[in-house]
Amino acid sequence: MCGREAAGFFPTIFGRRTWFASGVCAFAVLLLMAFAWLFISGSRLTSWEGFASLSRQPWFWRSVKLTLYTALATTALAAVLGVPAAYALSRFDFPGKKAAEVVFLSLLVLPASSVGLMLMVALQYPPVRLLQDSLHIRIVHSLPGVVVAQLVLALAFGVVAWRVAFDQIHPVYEHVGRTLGASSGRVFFNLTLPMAGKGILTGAILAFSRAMAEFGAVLILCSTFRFRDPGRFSAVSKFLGIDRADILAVAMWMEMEEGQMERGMALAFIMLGLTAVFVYVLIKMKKRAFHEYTGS
Amino acid sequence: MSGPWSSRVLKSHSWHALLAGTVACVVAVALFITLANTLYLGWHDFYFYMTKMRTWLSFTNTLWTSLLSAFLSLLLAVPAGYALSRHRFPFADAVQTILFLPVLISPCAVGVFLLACCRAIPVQPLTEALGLRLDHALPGVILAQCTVICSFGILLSKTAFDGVAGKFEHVSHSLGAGEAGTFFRVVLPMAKNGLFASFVLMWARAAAEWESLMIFVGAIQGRTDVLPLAVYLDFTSGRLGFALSMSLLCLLLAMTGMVAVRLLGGRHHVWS
Repeated sequence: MCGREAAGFFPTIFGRRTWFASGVCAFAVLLLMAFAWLFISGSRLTSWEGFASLSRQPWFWRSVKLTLYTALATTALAAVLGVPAAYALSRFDFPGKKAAEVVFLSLLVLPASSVGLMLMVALQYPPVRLLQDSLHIRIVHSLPGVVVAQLVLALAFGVVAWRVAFDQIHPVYEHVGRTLGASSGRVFFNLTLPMAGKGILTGAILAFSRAMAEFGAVLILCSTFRFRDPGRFSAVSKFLGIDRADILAVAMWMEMEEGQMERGMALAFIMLGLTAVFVYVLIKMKKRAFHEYTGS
Repeated sequence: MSGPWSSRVLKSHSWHALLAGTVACVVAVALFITLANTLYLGWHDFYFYMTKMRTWLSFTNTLWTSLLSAFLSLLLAVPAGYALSRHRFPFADAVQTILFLPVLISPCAVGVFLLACCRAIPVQPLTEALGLRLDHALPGVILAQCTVICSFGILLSKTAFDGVAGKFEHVSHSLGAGEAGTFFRVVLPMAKNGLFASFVLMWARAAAEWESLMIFVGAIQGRTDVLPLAVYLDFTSGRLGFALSMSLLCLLLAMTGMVAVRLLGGRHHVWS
């Protein structure tokens, strides 16, 4: 709930029984019912047996681990790149800033198929290919490729949230820190980052859930891993137990394509549950941030 | 020195360079990827595939379906966003969780849920009565796009309305205006830029939607292949030239939309 109601102009919808208020709320209720029915009606296509059979699949737990590890790695990479970038976009003017903002924003709305294909071509482009050859690594169709494919959207979502987090901190605190003799770096790490802590966490949760949800770019850049020859997986991935597995979104698509509706639907419900937890946490965090801000 | 956020106190050169460097790094990688794709395709081939009818069929399909779904979703999402911003709902957190779920859930899962929903009670008889076909047809494309961007639109318009302080409505009420009058003459004009920016973001998001289409609508060439889906179809069937020129077209669409958002200057937060 946002602060406007806290100001008390519209205490409840029942407090002001006007046609307009009821009509406006009817839209929200209608959409709520539509979305709720969208998710509930999915249960027709699955049963507890679907979940049970899913958990018996040899790839299932490896897939869960793979999804978790890749999404965590993606979030970490996105934070390393995105937090300083968001801070720079929030605080400094530099040439080409507007163009940079457009680039970051357009990552948000690029179709995943386009992202996957463009990454594929760029990674196979001669100079990049030679670099990979000399390092003896291969990104396309390999597990690190999953992280690369997820990074694009996760970074885009993260940077937007992190920028908002830094925009909300008035630079006067940093000025005080600087006049007390701290270096710019020290001000950033000891002052700005802790103050923006909640916003940074929000961005990280957004990036994580977006990385977990990524499907198209991963499918195009890495294809599927489940039926691949075990010899093609590195010792590291075998040690972590993430070989011959697909991230959950790709696994769900494969189950649907193979006609295993029950298992596909069960996977969809698992992803729904995980995302619902993230969305709920984000809403709660925003509410608390607002109350701390207003002191209410 | 310009702008309230930049100041001489903060300006330490190495630190400044390091931070701006990360931005430059990301932008440079994005530019390199675009450049590599353009060079790989070549100007001659790009021109060749641009003159093909198929490319333009996909392009026009994408354009009108995404514009229509963005418009429909805006009509639904703006009142809903206003309601969420101003009124206290019972179980508000749960309500918001459900309404905002399609923003963050995998679009692929949305497709799976739509597939199940369209065989369920209110949708199945309704589409039969109307003689509307959802699978393998463009109405299904519009439904899938609407599902995702409606939720996105509620979030964006709620943010836009949150940015309009409640005191203006209070003043308007105390001057004797009704609630509808206040909404249309005070709140909407104040939230105008934010709502325009939301519309463009929703449109761009709708034009990028394809995962749910692949599962829910099914990919039929020449019928349901909006640009992002056509990129995937052509990629898997080995027509790399078509796929690449269409993905560059998608990039152009996304960039155009985001330049518009930047010019409108609304608060283009995904989550705030």
